[in-house]
Amino acid sequence: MTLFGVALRNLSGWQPRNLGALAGITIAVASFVALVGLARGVEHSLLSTLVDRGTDLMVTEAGALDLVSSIVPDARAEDIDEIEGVTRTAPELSRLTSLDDGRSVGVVGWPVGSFPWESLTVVEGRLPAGPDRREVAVGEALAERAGFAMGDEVWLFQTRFEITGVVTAPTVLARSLAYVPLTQAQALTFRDGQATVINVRTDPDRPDEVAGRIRERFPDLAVERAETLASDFMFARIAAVLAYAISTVALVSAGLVIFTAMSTAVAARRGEIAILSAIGWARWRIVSALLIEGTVIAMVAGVAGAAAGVLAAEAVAARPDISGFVAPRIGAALLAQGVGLSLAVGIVGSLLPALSVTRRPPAEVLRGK
Amino acid sequence: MTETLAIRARGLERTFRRGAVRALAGVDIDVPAGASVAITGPSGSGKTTLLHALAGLLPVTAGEVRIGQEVPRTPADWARFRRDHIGLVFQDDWLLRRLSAVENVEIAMQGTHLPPREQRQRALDLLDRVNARAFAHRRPAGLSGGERQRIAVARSLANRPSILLADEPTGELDSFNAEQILRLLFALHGTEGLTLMIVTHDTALAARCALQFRMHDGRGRFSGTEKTE
Ligand SMILES: Nc1ncnc2c1ncn2[C@@H]1O[C@H](COP(=O)(O)OP(=O)(O)OP(=O)(O)O)[C@@H](O)[C@H]1O
Ligand SMILES: [Mg+2]
Repeated sequence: MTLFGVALRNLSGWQPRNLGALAGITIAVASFVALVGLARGVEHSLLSTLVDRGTDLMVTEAGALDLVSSIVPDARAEDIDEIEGVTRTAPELSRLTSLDDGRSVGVVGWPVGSFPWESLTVVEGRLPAGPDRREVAVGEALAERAGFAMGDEVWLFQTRFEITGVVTAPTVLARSLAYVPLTQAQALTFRDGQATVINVRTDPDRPDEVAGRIRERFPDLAVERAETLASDFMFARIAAVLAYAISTVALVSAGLVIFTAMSTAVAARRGEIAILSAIGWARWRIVSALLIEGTVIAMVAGVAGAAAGVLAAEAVAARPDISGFVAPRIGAALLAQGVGLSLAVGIVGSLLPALSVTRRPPAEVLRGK
Repeated sequence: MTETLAIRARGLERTFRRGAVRALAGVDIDVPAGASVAITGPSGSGKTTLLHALAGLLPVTAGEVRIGQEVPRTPADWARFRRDHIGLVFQDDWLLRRLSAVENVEIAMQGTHLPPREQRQRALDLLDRVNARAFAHRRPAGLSGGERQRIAVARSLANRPSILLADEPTGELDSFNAEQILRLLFALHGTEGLTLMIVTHDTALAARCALQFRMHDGRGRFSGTEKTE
């Protein structure tokens, strides 16, 4: 019988102590993968929604906490358009409103025909055709979630809109929004002449230079590269910090769970360990057998936990109240991290108790039961 | 004077509880190769402690044990000596519950470089010898105490030890099973020159051994000899 065979045989049968360790590690790894995946999903969907709009610079109210609370006169768009290096501008008004069923939806208003509309791909129907029309294009994730179809009526800001098109976009967040003409959004939210952001497109090579010029001209405005602003955005910052905090907590608790499970498993077997020593097993051989056991448990639990983490993250993201806003971002690297974490802690968690229990002379245990 | 010794121990001392208990208070013992020795004495006199010290299962506070011509010093030395030279049988069988009878014997051959097939063959032969071949592939849980102890004896013999140390090996068994085990041990002693040391409270068993080493309060001597310290 090989050393490996002995170790594996010790794992056979559904023994409570092994199941306990297995379950503990699986849960720890699953929560690590799910939480980090979700947190990264939140951060990513915010970032890329802004960047994918084809906007080079975003102009907001200086000092505003986030994109939704900023207020800028929409006329600034034309002023900025005249600055050298700016190729196009488009004011934008974003608001949250609630649908009939009480769930909230983000509504974005752009001037009809302005460049941000180009970031949307029409799946069905068409975009709103004129500034006076109460027409809305809905993202396909929103349509699916709310059961919207072409030609349906939808109430936004207590007003009836007609759905004229279903659109898709590169990010889940963008696919979950409703798009209306800017004038409609302004009128219905009592924000005539106001925008939350002015989207600016510049000569491709010189966005920073152009940003400087805008700042100089309008000191009361904040001008940022779209990606910088996105990661500066309060939600994105919170999401990033949460992702780190959560992964640290998940890591530490996973480590503790594995360590206690392994220590208990090893301590419960002092008799077996003592008799192996009595029949002449060298210490390294006993430690290796325990290490193999711990590693196999950690490997199985790591893989199971990673799989469970993916399922859990998908399940959380599919909850009706947040569905569509967040897609978990769980890549091969995160899965590998989960399994690796499990292995690392499995090895340390079985090695330390194995070393400590084999340091005791076998006589103590073998004196009698 | 020139007889070969299987075990030679000098000045063995072992205390417990920070010196409050002197389990071994300076034991000298010479065990001639091929002898049979009964270790007797009242409960708590240090018999088990002595046996453990002689097998290196318990570090001694002072003293030295020589096995054949060598003095094992480190735990690693002792593990190797136990594997190659010293068989051990306890009152409990200490079989691994997850392994079958034959596997429980095989694991004693770990590290001997015997190919797996020969390990299996040898383990089966040993089980045959202790009359346990019939349940070679069963796990200990379903077996009787006597059957389990026979497997434990087979395990102790796995690497053809020259010394067999047994601590009340029949303490848990009825007289029929006890007799089976003892016959086996004495047969091996007779045919293969195995040095046998048995801790026992049973005077009849003690009388079957050629020598009696009597322990009292952590000290001991061969009875019938008048060695003084
Ligand atoms: N690990 C230990 N911790 C504390 N005291 C111990 C330990 N091992 C042995 N002792 C003490 O050492 C003394 C000798 O014990 P030992 O087990 O060797 O006696 P024994 O002769 O085998 O007794 P028995 O016939 O009851 O088995 C006893 O007083 C015992 O309580
Ligand atoms: Mg005893």
